[in-house]
Amino acid sequence: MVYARDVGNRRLEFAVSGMLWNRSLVMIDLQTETLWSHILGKAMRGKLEGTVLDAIPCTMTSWEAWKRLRPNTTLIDLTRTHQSYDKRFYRNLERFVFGWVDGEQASSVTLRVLRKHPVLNLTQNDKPLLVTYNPFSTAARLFSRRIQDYELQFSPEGTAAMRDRQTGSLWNRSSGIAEEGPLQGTSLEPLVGIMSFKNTWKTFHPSSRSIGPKDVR
Amino acid sequence: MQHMLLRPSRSWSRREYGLAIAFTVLAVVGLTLLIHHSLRQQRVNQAFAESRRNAKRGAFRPTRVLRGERPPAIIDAPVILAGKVTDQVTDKELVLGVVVNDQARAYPLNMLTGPSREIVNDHLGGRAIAATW
Repeated sequence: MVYARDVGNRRLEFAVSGMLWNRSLVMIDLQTETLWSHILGKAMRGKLEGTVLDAIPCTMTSWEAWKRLRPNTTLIDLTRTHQSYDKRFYRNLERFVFGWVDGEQASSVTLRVLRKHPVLNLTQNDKPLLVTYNPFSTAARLFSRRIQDYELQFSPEGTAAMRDRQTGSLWNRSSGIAEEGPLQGTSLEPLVGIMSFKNTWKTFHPSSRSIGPKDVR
Repeated sequence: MQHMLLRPSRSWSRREYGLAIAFTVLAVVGLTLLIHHSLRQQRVNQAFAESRRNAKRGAFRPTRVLRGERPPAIIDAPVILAGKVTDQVTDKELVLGVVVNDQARAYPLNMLTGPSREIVNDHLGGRAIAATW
C-alpha cells in the first residue's frame, strides 16, 4: 500500500510500531504517536483515531515489467533485507486475491478468476470499473472505465493489452494508457486495489463481496 | 474429628481401610478434574464471548512483537535511475511501483521486508508519500 502522508495541515512520518494486529503491520506516526493499521490506512488508537489516510494507486509487479512500463522510473537504493520475493510469490492462485474498497463495500477477486478473466468489466454502485491482470508480470490493477462522459468496455488482447469495443483503441492493461487507435495517449483513471493473502483480506474485510464470472459485464 | 467419624464402633478390617482410602482418592481426583474442567470451560466461554464482542466493534487489539527500542523511521531513502541499476534488483523480482504526477518510483520487496524496513517515508511528484509492505 502507498499512502499520502499529509493529514489536514499536518505532515506525518511513519515508523514500524513493533506491534502487529491480526498478523498485519501496525504503523506509528512520529508526530502524534497515533497507531495506524497498515492494511486499512486507518488511525486505530491515539490523537488521530478514526482518520483515514488517502491511499495512492500502486502496482505490485516484476521489475522487468515495471521498467518497461515506466522507463524513466527511479528505484530506491537500500541494501537487501530479503532475497526471494520474485513473481513466483503469487504462483499459488488460490491463496491470493486482488481487493478494493468503495465506501463501505469491499470487493475481491481471486487470482484464479483473474487468470481466466484477465480483463473484467464491472459495474458497482453505478460506477463502471475495470480489473486487469497480466499473468506474466503478476500485475493486477483497478481502473475506472469512464472517459469523460463515455463508458468503455474492454476485451483482452494477448497477455498485456486490451481493446475497447467503442473505439477499437489498443490499451496497455497494466498502465491503463491507450497506445494505438483514436484514443492513443488517453489514460484510464487508476483506482486503489491491492494484492493480498485471501485470509488477510477476509480478516480485515469480513463482509467483502467476492467477484466471480457472473459479475462480468 | 474426621478420624472419629471415619472410625465405626468396631475396628475396620484392612480391606475396609483400603476401600475407604481408594474411595477418598477417587473422590478427590474426580472433584479436581471436575473443577479443572469447569474452570477451563469458563475460560473458553469468556474467550469466545470476548472475541464475539471484539468482532462486533472491530476492536483494535495489537500485540507487541518487537521488544526494546523501535526501529528508526526511514525518511527519503536514496534513489537511483532505472538505467543505473546493477544488482539492486533483478528482472523477476517484485517491486511496488507508484506513479505520482507522472513521476515513477519502484520499491523492491526485497528491500522493504523485515521490521527495520516495511515503511519508506518519501516524496514523489510533489507529494509526501509512505510506501508500505
